[in-house]
Amino acid sequence: MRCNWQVVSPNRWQLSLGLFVYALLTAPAADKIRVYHVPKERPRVAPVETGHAQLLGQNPHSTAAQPRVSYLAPEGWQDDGPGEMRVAGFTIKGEGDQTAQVAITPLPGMAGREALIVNMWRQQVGMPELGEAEATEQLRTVEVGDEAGKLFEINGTSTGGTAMRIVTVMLHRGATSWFFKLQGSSPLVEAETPKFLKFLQSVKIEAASSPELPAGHPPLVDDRGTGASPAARARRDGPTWTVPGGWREIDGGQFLFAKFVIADPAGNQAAVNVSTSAGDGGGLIANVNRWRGQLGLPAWSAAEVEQQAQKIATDAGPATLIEMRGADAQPPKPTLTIAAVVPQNHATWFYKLMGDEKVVLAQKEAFLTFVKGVQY
Amino acid sequence: MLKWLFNFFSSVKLAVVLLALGLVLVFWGTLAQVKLGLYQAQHEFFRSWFIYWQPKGTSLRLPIFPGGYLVGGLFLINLFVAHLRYYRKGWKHAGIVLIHLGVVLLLVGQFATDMLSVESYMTIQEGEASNYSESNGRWELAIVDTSDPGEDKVIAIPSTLLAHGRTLSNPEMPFDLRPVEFHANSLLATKATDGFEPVRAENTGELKVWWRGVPRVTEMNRRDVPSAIVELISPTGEKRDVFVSGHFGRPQTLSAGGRDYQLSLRPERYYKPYFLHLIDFRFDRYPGTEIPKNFSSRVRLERPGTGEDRELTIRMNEPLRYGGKTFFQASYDEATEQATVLQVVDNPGWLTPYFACALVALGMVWQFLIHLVGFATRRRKAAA
Repeated sequence: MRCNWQVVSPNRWQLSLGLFVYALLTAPAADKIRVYHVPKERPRVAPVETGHAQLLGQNPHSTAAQPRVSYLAPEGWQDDGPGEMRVAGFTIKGEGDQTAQVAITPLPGMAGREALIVNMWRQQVGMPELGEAEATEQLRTVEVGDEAGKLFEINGTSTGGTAMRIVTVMLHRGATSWFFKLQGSSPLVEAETPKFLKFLQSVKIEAASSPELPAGHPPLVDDRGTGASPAARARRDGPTWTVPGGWREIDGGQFLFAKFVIADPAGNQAAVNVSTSAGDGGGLIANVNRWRGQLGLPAWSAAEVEQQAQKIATDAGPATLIEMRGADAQPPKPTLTIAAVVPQNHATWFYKLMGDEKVVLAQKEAFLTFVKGVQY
Repeated sequence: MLKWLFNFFSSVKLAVVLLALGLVLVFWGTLAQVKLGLYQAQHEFFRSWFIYWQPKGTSLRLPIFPGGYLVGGLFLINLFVAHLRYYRKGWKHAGIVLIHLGVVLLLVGQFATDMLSVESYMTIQEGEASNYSESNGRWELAIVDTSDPGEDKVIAIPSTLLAHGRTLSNPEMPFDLRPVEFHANSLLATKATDGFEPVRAENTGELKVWWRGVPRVTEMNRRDVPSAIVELISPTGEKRDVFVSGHFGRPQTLSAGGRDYQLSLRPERYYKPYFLHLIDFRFDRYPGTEIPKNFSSRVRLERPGTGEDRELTIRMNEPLRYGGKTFFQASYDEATEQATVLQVVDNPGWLTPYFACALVALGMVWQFLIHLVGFATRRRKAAA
C-alpha cells in the first residue's frame, strides 16, 4: 500500500494530540489541600451519645449497632446514661422520697403487639390483663420528634406497696420499636408528664451507622477489614465447612460472615447466621442477652446464662450452646434460637440458627454437625 | 525500521487482533467481578497495562495478558496511524472517516471518563436535607473553622498526604500538621485485644483505645476505614498528638488562636450549591419475601442562590440529572428504612459515547448510501 503523507496537515495531528493533552491536564487535581467555605450544616438537635465514654465529645462506639438518639432533656432530670437495654436513662427526684425514672429502650419486632405491651406493664403494677380491643383503646397519639407515637398510662401499686404510675410511649420505626417510659411515684409522674411530653417532641432518632455488632464489641473488629462480603470472604480466607443439604447461602449483609436460609415444604423458614469478632466478642452473657432482647425476652443473669449454657465439643475445641424461645420479627411469631459460640484463634465465632420452631428443631442435628465440623 | 513501525501500527491485522483481545478482556474482566468485585476488577483488568498472575507462594507478578490501557492505547494509535496511511480526500470516503472518528471519540471519551469522573454517595434521612456527597473510597482529614456564625471554613487534607508522613502546612491552617502514624485501613478496640496497640495520643484522655492497621480491602461492599495519630504544631512551636479515626462518628473540637475548630477523618466530601431534602423514601417487597424492589425517593431540590425550589422523584431507572451530576437511587438504610442513599456521578464526558455512536452510525449510513447510489447508477447505466 502507498503512503499518503501530504494529505494530513500538521494542524489536525496537533489537534488530535491536543485532545489527549487536554484530557490529561484537566484531570482532577488530587492529593492537594483544599480550602473552601460551606454553609453551616442545617440545624439538627445536638446529639447526645448513647455510648459510655466520651473522647473529646465523641464516642468510639459510634459505629456500633444502635441508632443514635438525640434529645433535649428537661432541667432537673439527672442523666443516668445508657444501661444494658436502654440507650438513655434519667432519674427525677421529687418531694420527700418520691422518685421517677425515664428510660429509652429500643426493641426489635414489637410492632403490632401493642396489647401485649400494655398488658406487660399492667402486670408490673399488679393490674389485671385487658382484652386486645380494650388494651388498644388505652392508646392515644403523641408526638415523638416529627413522628407519631402511641401513649398509654397505668396507675397501680409497686411491689413495695406504694402508688406508682407508668407513662409509656412507643414508636415503631422499621424493624425497631422505641419505648419511652416514665415511671415512679404517682404524684411525681403526674407532675412530670408535661415535661416528659415536651421531651418526647425533642427526640430525634438517627440511623445506625452500621448494623448490629455483639454487645460490648469494639467497633468493627474483624481482622479482614470492615464489613466484609460474606460469600466472597468465606470462600477466600475464612474457615471451611460442609454446608448441610437444604441450606441455601445468601448474602447476609455487611456484618455477617455468612448466612444460610432453610425452608420446610410448608414454607416455614429458619436462618443460620455466622459472624465473628476479635477477642471474646463482648462475652457470652452480653451476647446472650442481646439475642434475648431481640426475641423480646428479659435479660438473664450470669448465673442463669451459666445454667442454660451447654458445653459441646467441636473439631476446633470446646464451644458453648444455648437455646432461647421467644418471638421475632414481623409478623410476630414464636421463634426458637439455637446459638453456638466457638472461641478460636483470638477471635470468637457465633453461629445462630433461628426461625420457625419446627424448622429449627428439624435442623438442630444438621446445625450441630455443621458447627462441630468447621475447620478454622 | 520507521517504515516497519508505521506499517505495523497502521495494519488492519493489528486492529483485528486488538479487537479480539478487547473482546476477551471484557469477557474475562466481567467474570472476574464475581470474585474480585467491581472496583478491583476494573483496576486489574481495565485500568492497567497488563493483567498479572502471581504464582502461589511467591512475590512474582507475571504479565499474562494485555490490560485495558494497553489494548485501548494501541487501538487508538492504530486508528491514528491508519488514518495517516489510508486517508483519502473526497465525499466518497467521508463515511469511513466518520466511523473512525466515532471510534476515536469513544476511546478518548472513555479515557476522559476514567480521568475525570467522580462517584460519590449522598445519604439523606427523611425530613432532613443534604448539600454534599461523600466518596466511597477517598478520605480526608477535615479541619473545619466553625467560628463564623454564617458559614464554615473547611481545610480538607486528603488522607494520602497523611500516608506520606511529611509535615503539612498551609497559610489557611491554624497549625502545621505532622502525621506520626497512619493506617489506610484500621480497626479499633476499646479494650486490650491481641494484635492491637494502645493509642498514645493526648485526646484519648482517660479512655483507653487500641488500634491496629489491617490490609486494604477491595470488595465493592467494603471500604477502608483509616486512623491516624497526627502532631499539631502551633505557630509558637507547641506540639500536641491527636488521634483521629474514620471509625469516629463525630468530629473532635479544639481551639487554636482564639477560633473554634472541628477535626475529623471523614470520607472526602463534595459540596453542591443546592440542597436535596428527603420528603419520603419508599420501596416495595417482592411478595412473600423480604427482598426489596421499586425504590424511590421523593425529594425537594432547593437552590438558595437562584431561588429554585421544586419537588421531584428519583427512581431506580429514573435518575435526577442536575447541575452536571446524575443522582441514581442506589440504596437505603436497612435499619430504619427511612433514609435514602443516592449515588452521585459527576462525569463531564458522559455525552461522548452518545456522540461517538452517532458519528459511527452517521458514517455507516453515509457509506451505505454512497454504495447504494453508485450501485443504482451503474445499474441504470447498464440498463440504458
